[in-house]
Amino acid sequence: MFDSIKQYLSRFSWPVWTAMTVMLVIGILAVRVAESVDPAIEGYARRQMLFAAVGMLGFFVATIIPYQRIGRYSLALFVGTLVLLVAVFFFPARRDCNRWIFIPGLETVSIQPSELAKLTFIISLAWYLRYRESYRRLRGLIAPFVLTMVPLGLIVMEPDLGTAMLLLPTLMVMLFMAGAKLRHLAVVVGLGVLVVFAPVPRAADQAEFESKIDWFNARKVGSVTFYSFNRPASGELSAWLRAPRLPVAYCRYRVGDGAVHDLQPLSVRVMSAMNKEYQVRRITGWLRPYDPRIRANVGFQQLQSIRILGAGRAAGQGDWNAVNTYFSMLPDDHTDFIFSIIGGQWGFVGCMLVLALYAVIFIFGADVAISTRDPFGRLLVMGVLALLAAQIFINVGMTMGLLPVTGMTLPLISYGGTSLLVNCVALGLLVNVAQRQPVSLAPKPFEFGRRIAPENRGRMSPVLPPRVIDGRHR
Amino acid sequence: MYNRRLIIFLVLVCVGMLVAVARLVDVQLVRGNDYADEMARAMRYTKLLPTTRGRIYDRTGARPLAIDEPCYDFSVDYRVLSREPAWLRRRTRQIARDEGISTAHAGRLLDQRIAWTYDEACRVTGTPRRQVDQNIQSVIDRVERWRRRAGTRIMEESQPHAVIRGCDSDQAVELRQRLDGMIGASVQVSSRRVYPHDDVACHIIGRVGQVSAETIEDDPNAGDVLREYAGGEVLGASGVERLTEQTLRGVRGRRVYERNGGELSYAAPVPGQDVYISIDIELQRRLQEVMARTSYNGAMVVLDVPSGEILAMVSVPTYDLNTYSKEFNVLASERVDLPLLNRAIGRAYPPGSCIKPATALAGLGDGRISLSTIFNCRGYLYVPTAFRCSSKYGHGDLALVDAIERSCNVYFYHVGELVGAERLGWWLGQLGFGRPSGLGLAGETNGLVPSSAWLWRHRHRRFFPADGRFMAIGQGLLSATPLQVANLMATVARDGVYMSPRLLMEGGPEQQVRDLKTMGISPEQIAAIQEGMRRVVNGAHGTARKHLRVGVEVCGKTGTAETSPQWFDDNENGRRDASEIAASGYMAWFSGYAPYGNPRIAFTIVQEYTPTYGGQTCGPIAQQMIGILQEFGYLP
Repeated sequence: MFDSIKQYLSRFSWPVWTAMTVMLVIGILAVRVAESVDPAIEGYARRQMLFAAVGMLGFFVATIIPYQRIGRYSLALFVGTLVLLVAVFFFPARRDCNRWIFIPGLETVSIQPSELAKLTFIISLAWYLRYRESYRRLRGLIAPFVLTMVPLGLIVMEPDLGTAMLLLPTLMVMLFMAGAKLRHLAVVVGLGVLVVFAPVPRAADQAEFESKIDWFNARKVGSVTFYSFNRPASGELSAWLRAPRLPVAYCRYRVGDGAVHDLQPLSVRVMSAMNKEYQVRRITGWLRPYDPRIRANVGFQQLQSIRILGAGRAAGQGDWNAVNTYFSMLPDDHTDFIFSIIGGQWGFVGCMLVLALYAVIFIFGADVAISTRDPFGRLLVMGVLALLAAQIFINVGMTMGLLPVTGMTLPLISYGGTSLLVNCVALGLLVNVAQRQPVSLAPKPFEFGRRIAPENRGRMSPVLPPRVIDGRHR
Repeated sequence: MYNRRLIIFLVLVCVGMLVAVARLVDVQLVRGNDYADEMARAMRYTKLLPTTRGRIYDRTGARPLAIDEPCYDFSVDYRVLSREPAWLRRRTRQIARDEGISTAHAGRLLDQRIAWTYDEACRVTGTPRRQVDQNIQSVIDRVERWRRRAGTRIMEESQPHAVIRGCDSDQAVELRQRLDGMIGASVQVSSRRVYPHDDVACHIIGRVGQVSAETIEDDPNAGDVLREYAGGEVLGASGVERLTEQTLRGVRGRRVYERNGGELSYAAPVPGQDVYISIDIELQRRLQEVMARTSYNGAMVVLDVPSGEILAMVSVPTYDLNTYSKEFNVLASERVDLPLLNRAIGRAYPPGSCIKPATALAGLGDGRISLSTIFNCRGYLYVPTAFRCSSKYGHGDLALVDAIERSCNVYFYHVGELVGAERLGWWLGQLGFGRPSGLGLAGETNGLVPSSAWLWRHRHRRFFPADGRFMAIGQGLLSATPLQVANLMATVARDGVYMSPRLLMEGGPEQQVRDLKTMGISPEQIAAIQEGMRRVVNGAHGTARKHLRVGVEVCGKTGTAETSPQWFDDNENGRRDASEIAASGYMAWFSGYAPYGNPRIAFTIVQEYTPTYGGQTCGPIAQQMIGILQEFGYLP
């Protein structure tokens, strides 16, 4: 008993735990800042402390149960999650979204199955991929994609575009790390881009559309006119980052008969056809950030976010009450836009601290990923890292105006019980893998670099990884 | 391979981190101060406090002519007025959700309620629906124009705009009770310009109108938030309201609040300054009544001789300033009577014989005639068919005093010929003809005193001797406004001192003063002209002797100018068909000053298109006028 505790502690990944704990504290403080200026979220910091405690508990539980045992239940977990994702539609919608499961009448206690789905998805995919190499063929990619698309589709229908889109980079990273061929992945990504951005004729009522165009800022390139964007402020470092968005946003062209056609990306077209005006407007808001019309409504949140972030300057506002009332003018400041609160309150220093803490997790996570030789462990760690990376970059990019606004939390910091718990458990699994590194005589998994004789191509690897590394007994 | 790919993954994460850090540096360190300023700015908000427009008083300083009166405006949100599709969609969805009905049904419901909003407001305020529709259209036109000019969405697009103006408090209460069922409607406190004297001196006081996009463009105070014009505001559109706009207009107040409570600064609105004009409004009312009783359109000007101040300036027909906007369409379509025209300054008439004192001054001043110069009048100048006199058989030998008394054309034909048109024009210019009177009122015409340059440019010829003859008797190309003629009389009355007339008691354009005695006219010569004008009324042969019996010694000059009829080429054949003639006849004048010897007032009366002579037509009017002036104490 004592020995096992000693062993547990000696192999415990302290840097990861420390980083996580500091971030939980930062999160609580940031929520407290948001709470102090917005009476509508009174008492959320206290609840966030509770969530942090639960998350910490989840972290330790996830470190104690051997991850292999969890892996064995991956199918059950996956199916269970799917059931929850379907069950979501039987609960009343909040803010027009069916994202939460809660007891009617007790709305404050709710869970978000899409957050759980992130975790079960990683576990299931890692479990599925661990011994295979079918994904090294194009056809073999179908199964992992189907595995992804089922929860993804359900989450999109909620709708929770942000969380759904999170699964794709995670899948890509895990396939990439498992050794899928780059050209296959490139084909898939290419197809995806083509489908999402394919230009199709605009659906909106032409007259209404025309009336909204800011012709003052239209510019003509050949026979194609790009319009509806204002020139970015000169000398802006990120001006070039926006530049490629413009042709994608809208363009119009005249064909020989003189008829005017307007184009828009297929994904936007599909979403408008599905009446998901909310999402369409978010994307157009991002595509045309300097359009004053957009600025006034959909772009408002993002603009406010950048403003608050920037106003923090080097060391932050410091003062908790006077100017910071402005924080209350940022919707979702305690959840999705917590990063701009951190930037506003503690300035560049605070933001850099948060990014540095994430860097610590990545560095030690990568160390675990290299040192473990268990294929399931390797993929699990990579899945956790990919999931974290995607969440961080989408959230931070969104608060800084580099990416469109999606409902995405900043892991370990944003207010929200399910999100916090899931991310803590994910880190727990990472530490779990670090603690349990069985000695293996088998060759390192996913090393497909060696040349294989032509007659053996497409077949099983000549050396089978022995079953024993999998098991409870060695 | 796994390790290599892990490194690639880490490099990608690093790149992402670097981009994030770069953006943080950009946003927080490079542009942080801008955002902090922006945030601080957004944390306060400014409320502009409306000011009140100054009042206009008459010369007594106790009788207001134009005042701001509090009232209520029924306003509707611009998005409802313009039926903005996105807004309507949003409201429709909201209704559908709240009421649990289909979107189509909700859309119909919304339309019904918007229609009900207008109908109910019309019913309560008794405004015709057409009027409301017109107001809505003009609001939309105005906002659209501004939006196009600004190039972006403007604040006015999401603000309420007044649809029915000037509701009283009872109507406001009734409207407020119905606001719940209305869409985007509100009742706002406002003020309206009220003119207590309705149509008296309407042309002088003038009216206020809506600020137009052009006004905003040419605003001299542009950039000064407290002074510049804003949409939906009123500004002086004509008359004194326009002339003294910058005085009447106040300065707005400003209150700056902090979002979380406190008030940062407060500047009280500065009300507009009051303006005092030289008109005696009760005198004006009485004289206007006199003028309105005649069957002709016309004008009357009464000047205070010592100061040059205008005591009354009547132009008939008049219109009611308080109902102007409602009646505008009718008023503007009156093309024969032209009620909006201020005839006293806005229309140039041939002055006829009223110009003869000026011709005499020119002849005497240039030394072409003397007081003893005698011309013989045979009833015509050279041949019986042209340049005839008013007397069929001639006046015989006449000196200047007799010529003025009998208004002998032949005498003045000779003077005009001797002086010449060019030189006569110069003298008329010195007397204020052919140039602005100096009041500064909009819509004023200069009249016409032809010069050789003007003639060459517009008629492509040089002066003929006939031009001088015609100008000498106030016919031909010469035209003048009643105010100019009245001021000529005042100049004669002041013994040859020209003063530009004044309308504002203080401020306004500087008064010009010229003494003709420095230009070669002697006091005896002036006295002779005054004597001639005295005899016009009081002499045995005076042209107005039968028509004016009053207690004071009035000096006058009648005038009967022939003029072309008023006609409209309705069938556009370029010919003057009999059916197209709206009015024809003489322009009948009677001008003068009183009393002789100690002049107090100078006056001019014009009647348009009369069948009778000046003395006959205007003499009785002048008699009433003198009586009223005596009653008011302006004459002994």
